[in-house]
Amino acid sequence: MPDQTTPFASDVPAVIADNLTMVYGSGEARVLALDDVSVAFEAGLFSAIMGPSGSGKSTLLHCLAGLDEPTSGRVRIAGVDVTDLGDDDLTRFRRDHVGFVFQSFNLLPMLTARDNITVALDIAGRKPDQPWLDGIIDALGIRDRLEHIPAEMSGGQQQRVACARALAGRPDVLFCDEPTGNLDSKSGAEVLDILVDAAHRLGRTVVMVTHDPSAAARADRVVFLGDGRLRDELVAPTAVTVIERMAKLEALVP
Amino acid sequence: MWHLTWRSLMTHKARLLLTSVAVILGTAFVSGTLVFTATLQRTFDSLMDAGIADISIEPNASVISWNNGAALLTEAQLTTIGRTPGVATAIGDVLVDGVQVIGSNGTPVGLTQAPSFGWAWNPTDMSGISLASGSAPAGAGEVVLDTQTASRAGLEVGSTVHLVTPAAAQTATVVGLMRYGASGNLAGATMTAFDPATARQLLLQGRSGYTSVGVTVAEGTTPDAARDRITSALADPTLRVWTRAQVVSEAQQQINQSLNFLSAFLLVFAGIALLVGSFLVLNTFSVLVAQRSRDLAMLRALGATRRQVAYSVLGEALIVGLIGGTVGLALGLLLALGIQKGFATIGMDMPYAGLTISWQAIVASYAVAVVVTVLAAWLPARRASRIKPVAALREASTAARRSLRGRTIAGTAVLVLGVVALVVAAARTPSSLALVGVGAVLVLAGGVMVSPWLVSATLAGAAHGTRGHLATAHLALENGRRNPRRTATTASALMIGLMLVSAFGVFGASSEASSDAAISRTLKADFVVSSVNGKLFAPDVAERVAAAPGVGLVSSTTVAPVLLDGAAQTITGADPSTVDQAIALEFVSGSLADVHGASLAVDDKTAADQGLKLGTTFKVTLPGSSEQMRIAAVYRSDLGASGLIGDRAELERLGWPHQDGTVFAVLKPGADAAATSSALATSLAAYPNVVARDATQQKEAMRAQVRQLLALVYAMLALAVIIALLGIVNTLALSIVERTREIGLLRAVGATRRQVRRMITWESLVIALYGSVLGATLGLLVGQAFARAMRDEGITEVAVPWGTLVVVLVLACAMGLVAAVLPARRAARLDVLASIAEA
Repeated sequence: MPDQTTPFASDVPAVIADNLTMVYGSGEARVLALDDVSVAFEAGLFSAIMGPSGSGKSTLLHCLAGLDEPTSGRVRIAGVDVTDLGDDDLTRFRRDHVGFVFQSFNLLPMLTARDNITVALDIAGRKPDQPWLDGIIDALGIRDRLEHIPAEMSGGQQQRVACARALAGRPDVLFCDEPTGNLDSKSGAEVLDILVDAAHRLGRTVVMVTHDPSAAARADRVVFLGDGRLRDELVAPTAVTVIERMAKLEALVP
Repeated sequence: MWHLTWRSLMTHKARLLLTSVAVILGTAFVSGTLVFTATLQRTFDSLMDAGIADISIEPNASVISWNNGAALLTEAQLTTIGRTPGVATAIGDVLVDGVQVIGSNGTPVGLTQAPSFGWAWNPTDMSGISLASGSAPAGAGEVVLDTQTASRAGLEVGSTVHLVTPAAAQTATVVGLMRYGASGNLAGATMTAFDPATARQLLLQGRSGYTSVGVTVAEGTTPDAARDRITSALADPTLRVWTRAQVVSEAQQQINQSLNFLSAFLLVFAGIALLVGSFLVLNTFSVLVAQRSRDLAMLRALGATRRQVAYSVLGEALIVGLIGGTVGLALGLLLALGIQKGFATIGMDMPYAGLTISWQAIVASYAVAVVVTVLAAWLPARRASRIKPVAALREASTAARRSLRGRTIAGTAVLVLGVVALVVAAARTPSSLALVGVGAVLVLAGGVMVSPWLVSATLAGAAHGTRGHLATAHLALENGRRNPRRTATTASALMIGLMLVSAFGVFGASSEASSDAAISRTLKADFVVSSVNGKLFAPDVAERVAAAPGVGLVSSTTVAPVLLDGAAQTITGADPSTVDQAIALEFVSGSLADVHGASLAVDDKTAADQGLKLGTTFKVTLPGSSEQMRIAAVYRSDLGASGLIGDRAELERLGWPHQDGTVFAVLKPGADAAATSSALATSLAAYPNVVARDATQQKEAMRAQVRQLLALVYAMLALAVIIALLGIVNTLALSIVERTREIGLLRAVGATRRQVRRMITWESLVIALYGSVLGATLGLLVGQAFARAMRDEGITEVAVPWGTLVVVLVLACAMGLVAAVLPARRAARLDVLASIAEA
């Protein structure tokens, strides 16, 4: 795609997962959510993780982001082994290096958009970088919503505020869990524009879980998961190639 | 982070308000108590602003707590004091407790427990008394009253007043009014002045002398130096020579002691209210944390540390605590003001309009409010900090049901241990009240721990029973057991209150039954004449009783405070020839015949406690004299008869005045009891300070005393019960917010508003009933153990007040219904579509 220039892309991966295994429950209720997954995401690129329901893609994202602890295996973000960190160090690391965008926006209902955007910085006791923040707010077109609380905003607006919150702390990596899942197609496209922009213009590494082929098609690279294992991979995807690969994958799965 | 805490607090204003109310009520109790007792203290302190000489000399006052004029300073001693170098003036006073002013409504004026002074008119700077109007008393028929007493009795200069003096009942003319100090405040006491000759006649049985001597020290002499000189000049160890500073510090110490007891009593109940309130705080914060777990997880994902999340919850608690402390303090001041007004109406005016607000009271209110709230929020805060960040990304908040097993097993163990402690405490000889206390705390703790499981089990059973026919009740029961911890915590608050109510109820009923039984066992006389204020009364009463038609034998007793080898004791002075016809005494060794002269009888329990045996001798000191006495007989201890019994003639020989504490009367054979009773009432009409009762009335009077105390305790516990009910309102309101979607769904599938309302009401009723039955049951256990452990104190019977318990349970349930009104209305008003749409 002509617009998908990747000036920040480097060969050094920003996020590396080695032999991730995740087991839930025990005995008959034992579920193998991740089965020895090793994968790397290059810095400055927009990557998507796809897979059928129950393929383990959300679990993978949680582990990559240091939100959940894998049963075994390691995750490194920006060179730091997060599986080694204790809870407080991990929290601090997350606060400084990682941003999140959730499917259900997850804005704090009692705060205005402005306060929601800076909440992570407030928690960390950091002063916001005002020009950077202004740049994001203007790029996301939410300046006129800043004094509103979430209940007074549409879904698209809320997700844009959530994107601004994720970017406010200049994270190295942005993790997105079905960011367009609760949005209509127009709002969804706008949010994807923001994510592409975050990777290509702002140089962040973006990792997104989605089950929407057209959303995945906006990424630089798509990895496919099935039954908790890495099944396939696609560089410079289009909606058509993604659908083909998904169909193949679902046919494989018994 | 503070910003977040504040915003979150503002979003949940209503529910935090309810939480605050619990803290406010408890704190108000604390601050009200502290402020009121401080104010009371200032009132008593102001008594010492006037009327205390530089040095005062009295017959050893530590012997007699009653200032009844038994021991006197002689004219010669007054002269000795006056001639001591360094003494400017020495003035002898006659001041005796025991002159009752009868108001125009026929009842004695002044507080029952406060002294009623008779005084030989002698106004000096030293006495602190000045004539406010009229003239000084001159002659037998004239008196001067203090201004407060006169206004309370509705008397003025020129009125005729009825008096009861230690000599007899009589009337006199009020010729003047006097004021004590600057304010006229006597803190509920009354004061009547006679001319010196009349005073000697009425107050000192015609003897001459003084009850005290006041000294003004000459310039250039220190009070301490003058005191030492007076002491050596008098050379009489039975006299107490004290400087003003000593008198004041002694008085203040006594006042502090009784005020400390009062405030400790009140603070215990404040503590109970706060304990109950802390359950409410715990519950509210638990629910808030549960409801916000997704938000909190999100904060964790965004980089908040565990500590920050915990602190944000504790921060909210801190603010609730501060609000509770502030409003509670203010409410406490109002409360103290109210009690002050109440005291004024029963005859105890406080001379200062304002309250005494110490910094300690302010600090204590805030400390109590903040500490209780923050401690109660501790567990929820810890739980909040343990929420995993990943919970923010998962769809449904899967708050895993934590197992109750560990808690239930531990709780059962604690409960069993508590019951064992109670049983042992009750059965052991000598019984142990401390062990009853330990048992009560263990039983309570065990009850709280086992409660969630018990809620689950009980409600599951009930739910099974209602399935299919009582749809709303069934839903309510299922809701109650969905979160057994929350239901149990809510019920626990009520449980504590009801446990105490039922324990005190059992103890009260047992006391009443024991007192009834003791009267049946020991009272042989047909009538008992006793004082309404616990003071001795004129011998004229006994004479009038004896003269009443229908009365045969009369036996009267007196009570003398003495020192027994230096330790304070009382001896009941009886007439050994007649007392066994009034009271049944069962002698273990010796007999009544052995009680005469310096030989005493003692009950076996007092004997055991004080190491007295048959033949033990000791020095008995009465005001002004002392003598070796010995134990000559031992009788069985009973609630109706205990302590040292001596020959009253001997006591009177040693200087104890001929006044009575109790007069027993036996009917003449064949006399009509009812007619005699009314004859007694008629002949005692002049003495409103005494009352004649038959056995039934005597039992009723004793029961009334127990009931009065019990009523006070119940009133104190009512606050805890009210807070517990607020807890039910709170829990229901919170759970309705949580279940908005569900309730919408119920409405969508056809539940009427009425049914929704009824479902919530059922929930409230279930919680109230569960909490109160559990509490009442535990209270029955504790109360019975307590009563049995008190058998050595004369609680011989154990009774359960079933009627009272049923009333209390019904009341608790009724209040449970009231608690449901607002939450139920709110649930019924939910908009169906909006509720379902709410994610």
